[in-house]
Amino acid sequence: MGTYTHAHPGLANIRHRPYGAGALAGLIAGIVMIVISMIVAASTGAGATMPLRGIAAALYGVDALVGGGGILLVGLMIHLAFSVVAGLVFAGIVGNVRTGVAFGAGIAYGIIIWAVNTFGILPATNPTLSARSALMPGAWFVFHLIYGGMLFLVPILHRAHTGER
Amino acid sequence: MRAVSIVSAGLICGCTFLLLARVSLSQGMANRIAEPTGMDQQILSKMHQVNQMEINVGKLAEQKSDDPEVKRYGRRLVRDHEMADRKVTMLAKQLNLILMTPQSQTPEEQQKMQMQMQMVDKLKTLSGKDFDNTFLPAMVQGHAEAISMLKGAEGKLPEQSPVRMLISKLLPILQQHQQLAEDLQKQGR
Repeated sequence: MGTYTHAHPGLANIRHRPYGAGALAGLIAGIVMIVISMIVAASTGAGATMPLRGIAAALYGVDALVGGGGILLVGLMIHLAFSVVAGLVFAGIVGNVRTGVAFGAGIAYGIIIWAVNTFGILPATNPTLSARSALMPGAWFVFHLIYGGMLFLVPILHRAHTGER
Repeated sequence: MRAVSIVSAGLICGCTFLLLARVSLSQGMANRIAEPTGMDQQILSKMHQVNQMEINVGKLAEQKSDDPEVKRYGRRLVRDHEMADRKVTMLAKQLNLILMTPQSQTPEEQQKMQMQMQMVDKLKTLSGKDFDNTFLPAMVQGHAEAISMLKGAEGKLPEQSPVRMLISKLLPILQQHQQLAEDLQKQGR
């Protein structure tokens, strides 16, 4: 290690963060989040496919609300891609911590993602989904908490991969 | 690791504080919410009537159209307007208002209501492409009128009116319906 990284060992370790585990945990969390949101959408009468259509509206606009199966697939791919990237970023920030710490950090991370999504990204890039999420603000918030909380899997998956105890 | 724990705890506390602040702000606003007025009852009744009409027309589209996207559009109308109607009836109940059949106030409004009913009757007799060619332009116009009505109502209500807040949430949904109908029409559905 050089002088700077010797003085700042955290930086030297940034390459050794559990990125693989973060990506996989992000994927799993994304799947759980979208499944729960589809169940809630179905139970409230909005239709189970509404979450996927809302996400796909980032590319297709309101036409995503009536598109066929291809639209749903695109919505799913967008959501899972973001989930994986967010998991990677989480692993890069938090590193290899205890499961309980990962859960707490994940909840905070989920809240941050919710805030950035709700007040920043969606109004600018997906007004269709932004308008619809405004009709169910509580559930929308909880979906993001679920995603963040599921990132407790990062240390578990990392230990499973490396064989650490 | 300790730093991460501290940062995590700090973030959770900070976010919780922000959320509690937002809730208490909303509560404060709720305490200043305007008392319901006769205009509230009239507007909610009109919204209820529009929702019921859109639900019926949406169901017609599901039955009568042969085009999968028009059918999905009909289903979307039904789902969204059922959701909107639940919010309207719930708000009316909270405000102790009874939803009535709105009475037309001007000859123009009476004529509009008659034309809408005639349009629904006409749609019942059509099917396939003929249905789509009549249904989609009717949806564009019908939603434009509903949006105009709601925007007018929104402007007349006080800022803290719960009816105004509901209108501001539902207006984008109506605009999406109008846009969808225009897009389907352009695609030659």
